[in-house]
Amino acid sequence: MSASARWRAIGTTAELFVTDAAELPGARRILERELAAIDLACSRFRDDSEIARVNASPGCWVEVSDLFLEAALTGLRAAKLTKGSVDPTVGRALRVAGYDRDFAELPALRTGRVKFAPAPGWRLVQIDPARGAVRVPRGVELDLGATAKALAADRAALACSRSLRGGVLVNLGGDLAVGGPAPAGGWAVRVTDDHESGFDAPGQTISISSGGLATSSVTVRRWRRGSDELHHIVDPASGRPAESFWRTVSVAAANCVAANVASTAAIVRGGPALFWLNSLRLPARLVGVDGRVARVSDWPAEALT
Amino acid sequence: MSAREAALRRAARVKRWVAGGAVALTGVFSAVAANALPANHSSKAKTIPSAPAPVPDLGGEQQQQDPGLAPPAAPPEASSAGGGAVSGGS
Repeated sequence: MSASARWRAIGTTAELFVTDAAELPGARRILERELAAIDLACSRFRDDSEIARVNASPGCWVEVSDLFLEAALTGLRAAKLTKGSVDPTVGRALRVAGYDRDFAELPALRTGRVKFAPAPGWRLVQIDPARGAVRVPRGVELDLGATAKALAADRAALACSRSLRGGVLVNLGGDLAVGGPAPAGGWAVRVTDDHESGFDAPGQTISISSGGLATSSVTVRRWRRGSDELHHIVDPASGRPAESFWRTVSVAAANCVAANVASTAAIVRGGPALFWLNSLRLPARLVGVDGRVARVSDWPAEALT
Repeated sequence: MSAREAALRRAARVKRWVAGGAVALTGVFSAVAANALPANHSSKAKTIPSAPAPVPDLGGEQQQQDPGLAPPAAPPEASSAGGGAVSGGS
């Protein structure tokens, strides 16, 4: 018999589904451990995190944990695969635009003029895997938020599948990773604008049986600064919130990191993302700002009810 | 021209080709050896305070060939289930 659990963690919602209810406590322990570790490594909003130490030490090699190294390499790889549409050096851009603390603590309206700072570029980040060290030049601040969350989902799903019976679905703020065998008919997932919505929110219900699924949307994590309305998906080229061509993009991929990277990059790329996702054969559902829905690759049509 | 003179000319021509070929081959082998064997670092190179950082191999240039953004083993399927996970922006 299946079971699930849901709680708040790393500034979002953590959710677990298991096919064997007896394995739920063990799966939760694994996920909580993974979340605590990724938060300590990659949270921009903790003074004691490794990323805070790296960002505060420009020009210096900073020795980091294996997990931070993996997260940093994942961020750089995302940048390379998307030709910079997703870039881990957007840390300063987010900070000067006002996203400088946990989103829950961010006032809905902030005063003062908003500033925009283009990302300096992922190629400036230096990593020495042999020494386990990272160095960023002055003016470069890392933000590994999105890819680190997806990485945590992948790692937890893999760890659960290795040590527990049955299958597991990890959901971190709408970023999903499948571990082990899926239940008959797959894991049911509602794709919609906001992961906090209920299962009946406008969108589409699908099922997945492997890999990962992620949704990026410009309808969430929005704030105002002066007369500007901002959102959290920054175009690295300009440092500004990405132009809103797509409202929400959901992508299925071989793992959660790939799904997350592709969905974020699609928001940044706008219209041409349709062809890009298709060229990668990534099943995706893209909702335009006018509400029109486009599907690419093998994304299914709406189920007839 | 006597047969002896003709033979001497042929021998001289062969000698020139052999000498030219030897010079060319020496150059080729020198270049190969220079690339194949480790360099003898000069003291100037050793004093460079900070060598360029090693940049890890992040995968191939061709996105289509890179497994980093690969599709799932099985594509999503339509479903009419009434409950489950929610994937949305966060």
